Amino acid sequence: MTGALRRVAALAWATARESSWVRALALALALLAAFAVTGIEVLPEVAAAPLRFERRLTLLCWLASGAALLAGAHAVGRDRRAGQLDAWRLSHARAGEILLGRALGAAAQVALAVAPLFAWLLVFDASGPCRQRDSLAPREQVSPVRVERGLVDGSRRAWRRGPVLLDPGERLELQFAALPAGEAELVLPWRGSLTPSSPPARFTLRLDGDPVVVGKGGEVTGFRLRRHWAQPPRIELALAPESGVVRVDLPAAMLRGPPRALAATFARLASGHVAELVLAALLGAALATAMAEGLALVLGGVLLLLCNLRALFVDAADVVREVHGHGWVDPALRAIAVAYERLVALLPDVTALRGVGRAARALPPWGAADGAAFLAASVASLLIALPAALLLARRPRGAR
Amino acid sequence: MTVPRGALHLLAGANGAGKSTLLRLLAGVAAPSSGAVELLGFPAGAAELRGRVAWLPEASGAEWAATVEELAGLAAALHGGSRAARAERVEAALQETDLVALRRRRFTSLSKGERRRAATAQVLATGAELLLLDEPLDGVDPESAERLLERLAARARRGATIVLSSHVLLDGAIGGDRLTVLAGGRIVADGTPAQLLRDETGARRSFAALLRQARGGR
Repeated sequence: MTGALRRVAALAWATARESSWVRALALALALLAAFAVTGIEVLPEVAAAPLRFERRLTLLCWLASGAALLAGAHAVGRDRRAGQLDAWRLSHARAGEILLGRALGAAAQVALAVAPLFAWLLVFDASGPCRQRDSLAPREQVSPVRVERGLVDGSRRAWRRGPVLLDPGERLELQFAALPAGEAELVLPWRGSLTPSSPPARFTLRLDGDPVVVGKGGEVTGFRLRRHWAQPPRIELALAPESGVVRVDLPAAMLRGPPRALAATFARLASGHVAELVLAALLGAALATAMAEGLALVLGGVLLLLCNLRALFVDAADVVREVHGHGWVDPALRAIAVAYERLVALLPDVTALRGVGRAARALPPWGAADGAAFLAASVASLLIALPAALLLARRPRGAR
Repeated sequence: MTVPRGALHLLAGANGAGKSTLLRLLAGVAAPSSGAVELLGFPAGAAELRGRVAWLPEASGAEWAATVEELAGLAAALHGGSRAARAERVEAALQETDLVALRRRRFTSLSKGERRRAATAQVLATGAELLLLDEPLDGVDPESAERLLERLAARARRGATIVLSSHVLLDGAIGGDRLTVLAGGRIVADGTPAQLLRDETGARRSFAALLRQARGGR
């Protein structure tokens, strides 16, 4: 075991010290990511710092994993061309060790190149966690357990998901079952004056039946009440009959605790990204054992894209299936969508592995699903590496 | 063809004679269409030979950007041994290939002959019992090639078995224990270098003359 670790480390070290062009490429791509996202900051939909941070870091991670794929494929492809893989088969190194060592070294090459930019985005960038501590520092978050919409006729309706449009005279009641530790803040984002001609929102916010805010809303606003709560509160937002329509962003409604230290967030982001780089490099290395580097890059790139957009593809397939229920979709298209969803579901979700989304939503860095994300990535790595290692270790046809 | 342990066995022949194929068969990376290849008592490619055989492929190390010493160190690490033993093997390999002064140079910055010697140093640094060297003298200047052959002969005298192929053999090859000449995939001459490199009158003849005669004798 010690010998195997030493051999993997030797291969990884040798790989990481090679090919300075890979480092240069990774750095160039990372800079491209930083500047590309800087360019779209002016767009209103990415104006919010958390969204800007998420987009910028995601693009950096995408490009870095592409560079890792390239570095992994190049390291093994070059060994294959030079006959070195066959030569190493005569040593104590097993095929799996060679693949793993080369992939780890390739991932390290890229990681070292993008680490300064990664650190800069986290620490110095205007949309990064250090400069946007209030928005991005992890906090304990408690969502309402029950949401009810009170209609004008006095009836009540449970609201399960998504934003809600409140009409004049309607009420929205949120019930919490727990409190975060420390001084908690109620977050209830909403938007009034949805069109230029709509009248301003006139509202009353009640806590456990007592009105705490009565007023007239602007275009984009919300409530942020910070206090030591004695018990989980019951919140009621009531619109006056002369009020305009209000859109309440219920998925973002929560009680959240005070901001915590950022170190755990940084560790989570770094470990997730390193795991992603290793996965990409291993994919490139494994494919390059069986095919030309160019082909390995194309195939690996497509797989990486599917892994990155997995959630989007699953959602799209879900929509097709849902719409089919209304008879709007051809059965063949539905069958394709379902098959596609099943195929994509087999791939690991690297966005969950990366953890950028959690950081952008100021969630505690480690979630219950993260273990599953890392496990899925490990299983995927094994499934990628095993056939490649078997292919590498095969004996020549007819050899005894 | 049988190669005794502790011998420096030379394979000569024109381009396409089958030298590299023979070495690939010995390394176990190609399979014979008929017949058998046995190394150190085991079939070629057997798991028992791991770490005991090292092979220098013909195109080895075309694009490495690592330094000469790092490459030799990597080969030594993959073949195992203590840290001190590995360092000793690397040092010996660099000395045998005259690369001590170039140890910190990147492989890609070396000339063709220096690259070939660096690739050979990798194989020597493994410390394997059986060394299969495919064209280690390719691109190497005559003086360095002579010295390398002498040192390989000395290594063989210390117990290593070396099978070396070359299409340009030099005077230093006289120090080899055995010379096999291949043409068209067949052995056309086999004997000690001293025997084969003399004509019927006992006069010294060139390798080119030997190859010409061997080809004509098929």
